[in-house]
Amino acid sequence: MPESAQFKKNAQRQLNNTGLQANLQRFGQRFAKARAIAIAELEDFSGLRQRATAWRDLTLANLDDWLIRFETHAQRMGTQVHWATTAAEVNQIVLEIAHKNKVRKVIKSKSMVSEETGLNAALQQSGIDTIETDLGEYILQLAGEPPSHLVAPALHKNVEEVADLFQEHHHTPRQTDIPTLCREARHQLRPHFLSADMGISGGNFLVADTGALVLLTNEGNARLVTTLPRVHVAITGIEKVIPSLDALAPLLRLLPRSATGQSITNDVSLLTGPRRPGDLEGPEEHHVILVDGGRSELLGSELQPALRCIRCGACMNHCPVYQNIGGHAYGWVYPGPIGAVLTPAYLGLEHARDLPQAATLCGACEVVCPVSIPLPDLLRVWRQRSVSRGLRPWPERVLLRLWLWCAMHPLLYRWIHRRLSWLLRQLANDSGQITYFPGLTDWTQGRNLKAPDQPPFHAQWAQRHRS
Amino acid sequence: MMTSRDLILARIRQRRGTTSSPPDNTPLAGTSGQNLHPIDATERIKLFQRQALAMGCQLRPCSSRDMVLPTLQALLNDLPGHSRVAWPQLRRWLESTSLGCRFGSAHSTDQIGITGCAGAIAETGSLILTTGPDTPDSVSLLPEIHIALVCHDDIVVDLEAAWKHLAQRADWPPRGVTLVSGPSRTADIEQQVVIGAHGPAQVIILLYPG
Repeated sequence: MPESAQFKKNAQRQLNNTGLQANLQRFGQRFAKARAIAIAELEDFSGLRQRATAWRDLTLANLDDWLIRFETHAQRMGTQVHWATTAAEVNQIVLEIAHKNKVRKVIKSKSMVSEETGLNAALQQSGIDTIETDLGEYILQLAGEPPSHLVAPALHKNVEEVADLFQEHHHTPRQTDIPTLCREARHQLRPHFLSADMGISGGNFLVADTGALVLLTNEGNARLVTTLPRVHVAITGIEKVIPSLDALAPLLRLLPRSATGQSITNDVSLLTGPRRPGDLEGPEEHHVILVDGGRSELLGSELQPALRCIRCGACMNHCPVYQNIGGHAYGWVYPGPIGAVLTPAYLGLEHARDLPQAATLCGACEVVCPVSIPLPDLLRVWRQRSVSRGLRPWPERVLLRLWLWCAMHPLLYRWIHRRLSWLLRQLANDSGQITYFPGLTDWTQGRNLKAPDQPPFHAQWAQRHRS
Repeated sequence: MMTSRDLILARIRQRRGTTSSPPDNTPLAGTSGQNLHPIDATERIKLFQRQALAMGCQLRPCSSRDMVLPTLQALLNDLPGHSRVAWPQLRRWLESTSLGCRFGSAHSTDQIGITGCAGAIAETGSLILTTGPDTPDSVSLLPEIHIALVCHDDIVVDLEAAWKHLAQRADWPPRGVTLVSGPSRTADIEQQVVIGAHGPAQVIILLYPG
């Protein structure tokens, strides 16, 4: 059973994890504030957002045609295009390419799709040394943990934990100065860049008109991964295709601003095909794997807008639930509001039934989404499906049925209401708050219930109409 | 047997529920937003300088093209690192001097990489680098210090102008186009920004009139 099925237990554990809580506190509103400043610099954010949304919708409406167009142009430039329906198929394709090229060492730049497929484990099992090179991903690889955020994968770790990991794995003196640790990672990873046979990257966008793969990074690692090894394999979802560079411009303006508040990432690479005659460097083989993995199921449904996602992480940076429980509680690759929408789609609702409930529906995620994904509406779609498929817990279902029956019998309803109100008022403290409820201590642990008003609404309403 | 390609395309078509129509982006073509107001060359250069500084680049303006070599020489005298590599494209310009640099792709031991650029973008303060036999990517990537020679005439206003500028090239699309905006950085430990991750830690731009 996937971890996403254990949401409540995981969330509770993370809420009680004082180390994680301190790290989340530090992270706090940092990205949200940086984003606000960067967005304010734009002349017309809402216009830009509308255009970006329209471009994403345009490809999603004819996704098959755009994918074929990308494939045609990419192949013309010498790229080998593969299609994978499932996670297992992705790993199989990568392993085949690796075996054919006698690959012994792989360096990776960040790829969330490879997290979906568990690629690192598959490569290691085949005896292929696999090294993550994004600093956050590298730290997590040493720790044996999955990422907890889309753009800051190791935000749940503090400098002390990183210092311990580096000391243990690098056999070097323990350092706690952050620039020194970054320097150490550079020195440790550089030999791997130079000796790896194959580089694996994700893909932020695929440009249909030119066949280019677009990668955005700050550390320069994606450029090394795609330049130095003999073989480059990019793994990306089928929804990442965009028509042209015209579409890339607004998305480039929005993605880094929404993610970290940068006006642009330090490197934006457009890669088209393998090394050409006369080139002194560059991969001899360039592969792109187009991954479905449940994405096509969302097309044509109410959930289709989720496929616009450009993985900036703004929704989780502004989510009060994510801010309190962190990314691991969600139990799968994508945390936060977008994760709560995508996980039930890709793993099955029965394996993630609590995720769509883990939202206050405050709407902050929708407001900040650079491609206008109506996340609260999509969470509601899952909630409705949960109910109609009978996936809610039985006490909830019984209670709702009971309430429905009572509501259809007004006299009985009022009689019960009066008794319950009386009972609740007895439980309230002097300021009218109920902080303890026998049998529901878990519920009252983190919140209070206000005691019912006296006289009750029904009585007030009746009185107002009499006078 | 149905391949995965057939299967995925069939699924998409089934969910789409319409017959195939050719992909068409004409309704949105040319609408990429932002649309910086048209600005003259002087403003464009100023904007580029401002944005490049904001991204963490260092600027060394040269009063004329002839001043580039003396400026570069003085800069190299001040910088640590004697292992220098430059784009083969710059060979004719730099070879006659006593800069002591190699021309080709970079080795891991090179400390300073010297490149030109295919253009620069005022909106973002980016250098546009294209990969080719005369312009290997490693020169701007492996050494700790990247020095770029940028001519005023190569600065375009925004991303849209950059795409137009690139599309005029004979080798379009080149194998690699990289927009480099300042030195590499990471904020993966406690969100503290540290300059100099896997790529260069310094990007120094020598800006000269055409």
